[in-house]
Amino acid sequence: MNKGQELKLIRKAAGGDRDSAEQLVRAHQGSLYGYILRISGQPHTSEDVVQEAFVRVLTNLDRFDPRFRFSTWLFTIGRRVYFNMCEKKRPCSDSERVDGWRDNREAATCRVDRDDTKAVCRDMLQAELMRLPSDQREVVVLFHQHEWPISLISEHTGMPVGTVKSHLHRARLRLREWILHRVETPGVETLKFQEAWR
Amino acid sequence: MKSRSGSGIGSGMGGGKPSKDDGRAHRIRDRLMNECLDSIVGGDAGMARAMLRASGEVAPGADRDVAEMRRLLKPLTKVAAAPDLAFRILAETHRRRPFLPSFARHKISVWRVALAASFLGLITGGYLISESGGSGQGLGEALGSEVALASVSPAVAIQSSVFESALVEPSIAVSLSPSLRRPLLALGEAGSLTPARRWGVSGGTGDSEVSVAGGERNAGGMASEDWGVGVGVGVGVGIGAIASRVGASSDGLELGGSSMLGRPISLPTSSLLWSDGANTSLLKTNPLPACLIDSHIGERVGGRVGGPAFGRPVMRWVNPGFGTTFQGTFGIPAERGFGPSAGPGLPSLPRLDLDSLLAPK
Repeated sequence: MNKGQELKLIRKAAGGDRDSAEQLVRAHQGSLYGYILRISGQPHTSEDVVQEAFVRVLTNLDRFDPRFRFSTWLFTIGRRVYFNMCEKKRPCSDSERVDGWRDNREAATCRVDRDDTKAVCRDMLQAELMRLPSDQREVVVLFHQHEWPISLISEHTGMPVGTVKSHLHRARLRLREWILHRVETPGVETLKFQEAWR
Repeated sequence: MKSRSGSGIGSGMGGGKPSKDDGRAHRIRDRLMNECLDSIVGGDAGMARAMLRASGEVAPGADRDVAEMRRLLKPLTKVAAAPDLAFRILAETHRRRPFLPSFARHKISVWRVALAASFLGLITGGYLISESGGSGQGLGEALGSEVALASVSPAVAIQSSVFESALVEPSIAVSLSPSLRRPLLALGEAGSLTPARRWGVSGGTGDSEVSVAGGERNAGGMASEDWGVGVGVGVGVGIGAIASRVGASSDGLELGGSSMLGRPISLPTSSLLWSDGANTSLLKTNPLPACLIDSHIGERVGGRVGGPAFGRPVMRWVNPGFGTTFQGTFGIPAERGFGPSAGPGLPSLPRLDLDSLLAPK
């Protein structure tokens, strides 16, 4: 969908047209869900965030500034909804959060027995992503998954461009270190991981 | 164990005690790898290749680092399968702000509204007669119908209207504003006090708002100040907007502007600031056609209207622009019991005579 078509849909949806709203949702729900899923690691949370973000966007479409990209606006609202949700559901202690990550990593390892090595790699990468600080994780996801330019990420996250780059570079090095460390750990999964990543 | 410059997975965990030079070389390779990846993902693979070629001697094996990192991050580019949430989203959206059927979304351009308003104003209200008013002085009093156009953006509303300048005794107006978005009727009331100062108050229930307006107008002068403050409070929404109105008026014509602090209320009805004639201030970008019926109880003197009661339906169309909403308002006077009492020398325009129309044949 090009920008002109998108603006047309937005205008119609702002005027109360259900079909246009539905087209907008279908065009963007996948990318927003992917973004939130990557930074939260939790499918149920992602669904809730996507729903709430879209509802807020659709009920406030008349405030949309057509000079900007719709997806950027949507992601900004989704991000805000997610962080608000995190504030409400903040874990009692850091150990709780660490346990959550550990569960993810263990789940990834358990799935090695299955033949779906690519899915295993995705889970593994997701588990390692969750070990990153949230700022770094978000920057990696926006840059590598959504291919946003660094300037846009800077605008979206409110961080200076230099900080975004620095987060991105550190995050990559950490991910590489962690993943390679896991791959080198002797075990059944080593060969499959290596095979999958080659 | 392979050295770092080896190939493939696992090559990054080099053994042995790293020397100072090794550490420097690693840093260079890491930095190069990051810069190359930034370029590649940013769509400038040529730049990445050039950097790798240029650094072949300083950082041998950097190309393998880049390739390895790309492999590691490749799963990120696969977008996770998303559940279809469209139904849930649309249902919730509809609950909070209902979608409109196609007939209600029909947009009418502001020019057509203006034309229609002018036409209807002429045939129904452009008269120069007054029965009980008595004075009938001035052209402003002769224009009985309201024609208003307003350009409303979220921040600024500019409105012009033709109104009846003669001031009235305290009166009460009730407005009904059936909303397509919300089924409740909005009830409002407005009053005008004292010839020199006017206060308009409209309050409501359901999806209406409360607005307060104060102002001062010198009705007899050729031009005067008209100022006021409107406060819109939406039920269930909280404070919607604080609007200040500044305008100048002369007999028969008012030009006014409103600026708002905060956002307009996200409710379908709008402020009705009732001044001493027909003056409606609409401060809400309201993307739907609505019908407003004003019914007055009380006696108005000195102008076009007389008698104990009269009704005046006002149709309002809103053309939802993008960031700006244009709307047109016009009124159809439906007064009863008029008589010819226009001032001497004033032209007379045709008007509907409801009494003769409604009278049994």
